[in-house]
Amino acid sequence: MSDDDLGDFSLMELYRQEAEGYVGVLSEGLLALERGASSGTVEPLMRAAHSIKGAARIVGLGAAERVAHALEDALVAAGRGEVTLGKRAVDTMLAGVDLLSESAQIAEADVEEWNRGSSDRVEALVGAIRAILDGPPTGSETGTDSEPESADPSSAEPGTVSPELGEGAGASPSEPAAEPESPPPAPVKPTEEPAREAAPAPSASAGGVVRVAAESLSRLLGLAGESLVEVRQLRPLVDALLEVRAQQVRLGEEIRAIERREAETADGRTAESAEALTRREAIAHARDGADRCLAGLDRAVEALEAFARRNEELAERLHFEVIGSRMRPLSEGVRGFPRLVRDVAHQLGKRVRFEVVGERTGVDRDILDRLEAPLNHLIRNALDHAIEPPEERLAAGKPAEGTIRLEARHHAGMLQLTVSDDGRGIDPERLRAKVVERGLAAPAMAERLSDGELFEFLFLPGFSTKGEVTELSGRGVGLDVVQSTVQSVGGQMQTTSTLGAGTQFHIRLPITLSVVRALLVRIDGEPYAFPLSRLDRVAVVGPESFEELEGRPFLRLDDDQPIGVLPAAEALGLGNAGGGPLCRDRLPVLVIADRGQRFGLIVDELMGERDLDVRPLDPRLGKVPDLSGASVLDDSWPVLIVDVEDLVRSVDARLHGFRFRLGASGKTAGEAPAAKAKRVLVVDDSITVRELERQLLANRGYDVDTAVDGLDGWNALRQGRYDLVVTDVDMPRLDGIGLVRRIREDDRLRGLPVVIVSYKDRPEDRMRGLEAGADGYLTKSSFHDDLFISTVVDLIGEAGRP
Amino acid sequence: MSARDPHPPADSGDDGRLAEQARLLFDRPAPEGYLDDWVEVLSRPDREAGGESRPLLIFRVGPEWLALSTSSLVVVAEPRPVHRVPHRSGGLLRGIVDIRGRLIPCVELGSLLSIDPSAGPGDGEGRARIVVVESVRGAGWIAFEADEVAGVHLIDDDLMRGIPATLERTGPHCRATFRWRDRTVGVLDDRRVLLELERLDQ
Repeated sequence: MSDDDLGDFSLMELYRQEAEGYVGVLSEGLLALERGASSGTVEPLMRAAHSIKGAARIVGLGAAERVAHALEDALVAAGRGEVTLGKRAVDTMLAGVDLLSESAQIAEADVEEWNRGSSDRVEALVGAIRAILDGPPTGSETGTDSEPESADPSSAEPGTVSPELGEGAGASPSEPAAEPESPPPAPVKPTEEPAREAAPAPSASAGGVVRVAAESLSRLLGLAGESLVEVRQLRPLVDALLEVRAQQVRLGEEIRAIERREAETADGRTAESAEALTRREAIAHARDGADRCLAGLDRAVEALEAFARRNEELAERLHFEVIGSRMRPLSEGVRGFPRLVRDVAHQLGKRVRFEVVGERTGVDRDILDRLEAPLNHLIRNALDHAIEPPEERLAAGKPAEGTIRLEARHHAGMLQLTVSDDGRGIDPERLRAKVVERGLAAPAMAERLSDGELFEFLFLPGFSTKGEVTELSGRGVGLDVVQSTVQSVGGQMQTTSTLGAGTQFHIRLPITLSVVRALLVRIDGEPYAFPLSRLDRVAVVGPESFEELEGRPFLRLDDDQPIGVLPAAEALGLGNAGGGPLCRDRLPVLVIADRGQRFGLIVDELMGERDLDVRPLDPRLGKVPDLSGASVLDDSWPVLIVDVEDLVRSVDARLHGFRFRLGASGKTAGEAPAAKAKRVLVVDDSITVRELERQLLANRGYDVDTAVDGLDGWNALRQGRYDLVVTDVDMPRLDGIGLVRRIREDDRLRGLPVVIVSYKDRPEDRMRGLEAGADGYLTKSSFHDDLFISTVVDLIGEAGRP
Repeated sequence: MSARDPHPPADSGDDGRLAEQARLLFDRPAPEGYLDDWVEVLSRPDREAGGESRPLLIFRVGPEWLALSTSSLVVVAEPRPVHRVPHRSGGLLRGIVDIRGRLIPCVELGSLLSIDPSAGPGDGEGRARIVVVESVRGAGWIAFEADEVAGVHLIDDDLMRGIPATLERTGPHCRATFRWRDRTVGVLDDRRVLLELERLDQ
C-alpha cells in the first residue's frame, strides 16, 4: 500500500538520515574535545566524517564531500596527537559541521545549484580547516576558556560561515589557532585505511538501530493490540470447557449412585441372578467410561489453559515490545543543546555550563521530536534572561560560571523533565505589578495570588516580563508556545523560582503518546476516555448537591468554588440527553479545567481506569473537536479519547445561550428562532472585539456565534451552517489567513463569504487577506462608522428575521 | 479413443465381455431429475456468445436488496459496536468501528440512497453484517452496515436490466437491476457510491 521500507526512500533521503546522525556525533564529539576529552574520543568522529564523505560523494554533493574530507584529515591528525583542537579550531570545524548539516536539507533537484552556490564558502572553510593542521602556533590555547570576546558573533550563528573566518584563514596563517607545540606537520595526507576499517554506521555502535516508517509502526501496534484482544477470547472458551467438565463430574457421580444402589439391593441376597450381574457389569463399564472421559477432558482443559496463558503472555510481551520500540533515549533529542548553549553564551559574554542528567531516559519518539522546540526555547530563555553576566554573579557570591541543567527521569508513569538554572530567578513582586498593570487581575486579587499562580501568567500569550524584545528569546514567541506544545502531547508545566537563586521549569509528560492512562466513562451509552493527567477530580454526588444560579446548575466541591456543571453528552454535542441524567440519585461528575476555566461534566457511569493504546482518528474524519484519538476495548467497543483542553473551550462556547434545568422537567437549549435568521460566525481572540462584533451584528438581527481562534472557528464551521464568517488575522493556533484558506479549499464551504477585520491596515496586509480568498478586508476602525455593518449587509443581505 | 491397441488380438473374447460391461454401465437409467437438470443447463444461452458473468455481493439494507462488485470488497465482518463521533453526526457517518485492529469510519449506506431503514423486515435473523470496502482514492477502508448479507453470487450479465426512468433523472446510485430469487436487486455503481460515501460529513 505505502512505502514501508528503506527501499522506497530516495538516495537523498538516505543521505539525509545518515548525515543527520553523523552531524550529531560530530557536534557532540567536537565539544567534548574542546572540553579536553581524551584523544580516544576522536575515533568515532573520524569515522563519522569519513562516512559522510563517502555518502556525499554518492549523492553528488561535492561541496559537502570536500568539507567532510577536510574535517576527516583534521580529526585524523588530532587522533594521532599531531594537533590539539582548541577553541578556535573547534569553532572552525563546527562551522564545517554546520555546512554538512545544511547539505542534508538540500532537495535532490537542487544539488547542483547548491554545489555551485556554496563553493566560495566551501573554499574558505576547507582552507580554514586545513590551516588547523599546518597553522603555526599563535597565542596560548588552554583549551578551556578565557578568550575574552574572542569569537566573532557570526561564528555563533548556526548555518553560516563568517567571511572573516574564511579570509582570515586564507590571508593570515596566524588566525586559526593550533596547539603551540604541534610540529608544523608535513602536509598531512592521512591514509584512509584506519578510518575505513572501522566505519560502521553510528547506529551499529548504539546497539543497532533501524529506521521503520512511522505508519508501519503504528500498524504494528494496532495489530499487537488486536492480537492481545483476540487471545483473551480464549478465556471464555476455557470457561465453557470447565462447565462441560462440571457436568461430566455430575454424570460420574450419578452413575456411582446407581452403582451403589445396585450393590445395596444385591447385598440382601445370597445368590445373584445372571441378569443382575450383567447389569452391574454394564454400570461399572459406564462408570469407567465416564471416568476416562473426565480424565481426557481434564488433560484437554489443562492443555488449553496453559496454551491460553502462554499466548496471552506472548501477546502482552509483543504489545509491550512494540510500544517499547517507540522509545528513544533522551540524548537523541538534545544533541543540539550543548552547542546552542556554548554559542549563545559566547555571544552574550556569559559563562554557562550545560548539564544533562538522565540522558538514557526513554522517551517516545513522537514526544521527543516535539520536545526540541520548547526545550530549546526554555534554554535560550535561561541563557538570555536568567543567567547573569560573570561580574554580576561574582558580586552576588555565585561562581562566575552559571549552570543550566536539563534533567530527565521517569516518575510515577510519567516523564519528568526539569530545565533549571542558577540565575537571578523571577521576582514575584515585579510579576504581580505587571499583572496588575496589564489589567489581567484586579490589585486586590493579585495580592492574594500565590507564587505558583503568579508564574502561570508567564504562559499567557504576549506576556513578557522583560522590557525590551531581545534578538535571542523575545521573538514574539513566548512561553505560551512552550506550554501549548507541552500540552499538545498531553503534558503539564509548572514553574518554581527563588529570587536570586534560580528558576526551574518542570514539565510532566506521558512517557509515550501511544499509551495513555485514562478514566473510562460511559456517555450517552458509549465509552469515552479522559486522560488521567488532564482530570482535575472525579466526584459522585447526589442530585441534592446541585444548586442553581440564574438558571444554571452548579456544584460545590471541597474547595468551595462553584463549578458549573452540564451533561457530558451535551458538552460533546451529542445533543439530546433527554434531561434524564439529573434524575438519578448517584451522579458521577468529572471536573476538567484549562487555563482557569473549570467545568463539571455529568457522565452516565464510571467504568474504571485503563491503559489505552492510542490510535489516531481516521484522517478522513478531519480534526474532530474535543477528541484526541481513539482506542479499542476488550469487548471490541471503540473508545474515543477526549482532548480536555479542546473540550473546555467548546464547553465555554456552548454555554453561551445554553440552558438546562435540573430535574426531569427537560431543558430548553436556547430558543429555536421563529424564522431562520442569517447566521454569522465571529472569530477573534480578543473578547472585546468579539463581543463588540457580536453586539453590532445581533442588533441588526443576525444570529451570531463566536469562536476564540481560527481552529475553534474552523471546528464551528464544520459543524454548523453559516452565511458569513467575520475573522481576525492574528490569532493563536490557526490565524485568519489560514482559516480563509481552509474555507476556500473545502468543498462544502468554498462559497461562504468571509470578511477579515484586522488592526493591520497596510496595503500588503490587505492584499494577503484578499489573496487568501476573503471577500472583504476591513480595519477595526470600521466599527466606528457603519462600514462594518454595511459590508455585511452588502454581502449577505439583511438578517431576514421578520 | 484412438486406434491404440494395447492387447493382442487373441484376447478378443475378453474384449467383447468388457465392451458389454461398459455398455451396461453407460446405458444404465439416469437418476431421477438428472436429465431435466441437464436439459435446463444446456438450454441456457451459450456463455461464450452471451457474455460474461460477474461476482456480486448481495445484501439488504432496510427493505431494499442491493449488490456490490467484489472488486472493492475487503471483508464482511460480524456485527460489532459502532461508536458515534461527536460533532460528526447528522451526515452519512454512523461512527467508527474496529475492523482488524483499524478504527475505520462506518457510514449509513441507507441514508445515501434515501432508504427508509424502518421499512425493512428487521435484522434478518442474525444475518446482519458489517461490509468493509476499499475506498476509491486509496484513503483506507470504509464500512457500512447491512441488515442481511446473502453472500457472493455469480450473476450473468445477460440478466442485467435497466433502472426505472424515474430514478434515472435523480442521479441514481444504481446502474442496473436483476432478478434474483424472486426479488429485484439493484447493482450499485461502486465508484460513485464510494466517492460519495467518503464525503462523510454531508
